[in-house]
Amino acid sequence: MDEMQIVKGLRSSTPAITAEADDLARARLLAAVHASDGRRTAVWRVAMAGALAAAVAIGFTVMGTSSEPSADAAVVQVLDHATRAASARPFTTPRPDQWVYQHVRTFPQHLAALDFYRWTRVGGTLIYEMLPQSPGKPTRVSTGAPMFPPQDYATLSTLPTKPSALLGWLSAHRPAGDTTTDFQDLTGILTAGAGLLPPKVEAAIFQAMKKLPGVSVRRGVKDPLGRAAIGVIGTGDGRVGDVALNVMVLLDPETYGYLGNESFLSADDVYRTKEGVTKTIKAGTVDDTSAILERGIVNALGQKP
Amino acid sequence: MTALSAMSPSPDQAGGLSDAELVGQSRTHPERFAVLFERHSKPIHHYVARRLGTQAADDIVGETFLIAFGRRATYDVDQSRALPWLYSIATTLIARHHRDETRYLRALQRTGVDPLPEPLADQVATRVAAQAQERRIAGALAGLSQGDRDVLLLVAWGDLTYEETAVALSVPIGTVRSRLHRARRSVRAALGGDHPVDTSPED
Repeated sequence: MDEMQIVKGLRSSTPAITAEADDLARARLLAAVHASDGRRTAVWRVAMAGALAAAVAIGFTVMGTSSEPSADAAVVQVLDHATRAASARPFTTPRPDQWVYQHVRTFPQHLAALDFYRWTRVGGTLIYEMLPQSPGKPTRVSTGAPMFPPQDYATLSTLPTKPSALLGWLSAHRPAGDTTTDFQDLTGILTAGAGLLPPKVEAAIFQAMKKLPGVSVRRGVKDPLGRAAIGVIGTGDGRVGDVALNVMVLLDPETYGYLGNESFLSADDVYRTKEGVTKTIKAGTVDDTSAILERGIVNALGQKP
Repeated sequence: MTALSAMSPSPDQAGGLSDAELVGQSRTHPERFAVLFERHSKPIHHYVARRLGTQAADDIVGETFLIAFGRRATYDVDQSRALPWLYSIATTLIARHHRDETRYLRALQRTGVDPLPEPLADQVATRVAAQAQERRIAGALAGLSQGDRDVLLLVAWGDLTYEETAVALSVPIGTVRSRLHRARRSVRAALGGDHPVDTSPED
């Protein structure tokens, strides 16, 4: 036998990494990713460990006592309004060679606002993004493979238009190990659709939200840009990474159109610093907000309405 | 949940992207880096565990990806596969345990009992039969210089090509070939090949 084959055999039955060790290594990486991520949960644990330990929620505190209790009647009223408004909205089916454009402003907590432009091809799965501070060629961010919740317009625009079928579709397509809730996924679809989804699909999303237990509404809130909004809040057992998050959809009180969303901690995040000190970020603390500044159908990648 | 966080690709969904594309995207979308972990953590762990045992490998894998993430801005995007780069970081971390590694190999050579975790039970029969050969190889590996051992094991255990090994160790391909040639000769000799060299007390 060739000596390379013999070397290859040595310790070849060494056990694979255990699930625990794998999880720990992944968690270390994700913590670094989160800490570095100006676009999302920026410097959670670094910033929070310092002067911000009081964990004052910026924006508005959703979990506070002023939050309207889960009033079925209020939820039904708001979501039915939103459904009717969506159904009545003028809509021209875009051509497959066109692009859905949106200009989004995100507010990762304790950091300056961050804008980005996104183009989603109407036919197919291409998605490109560009930061205003690095103009030029938009960067392709789609992999070509299906994403969950779906982000490509072809999938979004052909989602089931019956609420129970839509929820069934989510269950059937949610990847194993994905721990987001139906409400979070419906919000993800609204966000990706940028308010430009076919009316029947958008109506089905609001009706599907109505079917979910524990949904509540909050009137008189403002979106991250200071616009008046109605908040529709999900139930909070979904996890993104290692943080339990809930999300509030922000709707225009006049048109019931989608304005943006805000995610916030749905449970205390207790962690230990490098120095061994235990810290807590309170439930209700805002994690991230995003709002759509501009949207429209354009004819070419890189174009704005 | 922003549009961005909602669209982090899961590992299988990122199948269409090369490692280089993912590293490139992770500069503005750091969460994309997690896909590289899903792709490569297992082979890296297995490689390190074979050299230093699973406990050290647990630490080194975590460390490797943290360091890699911190250095993503300097990744050479012409390298479509990230494995050589990750092995390069892991190799530096392994080097800190050079003495331990040699001690384990010597122990295996002397006693026939590998101080690294026992293989699976169904391998026992093979193990006994292969013991003498294993002990000789362990002796040969223990006697190699760190550089020669790195080349031999990156090729044999890491399945890297000569070119990738050169990238992983930042040495010319010619050096990889000469180190590999030297290492193979030592192993062959330990196994009682054409050029016997007295590297093991039992021989």
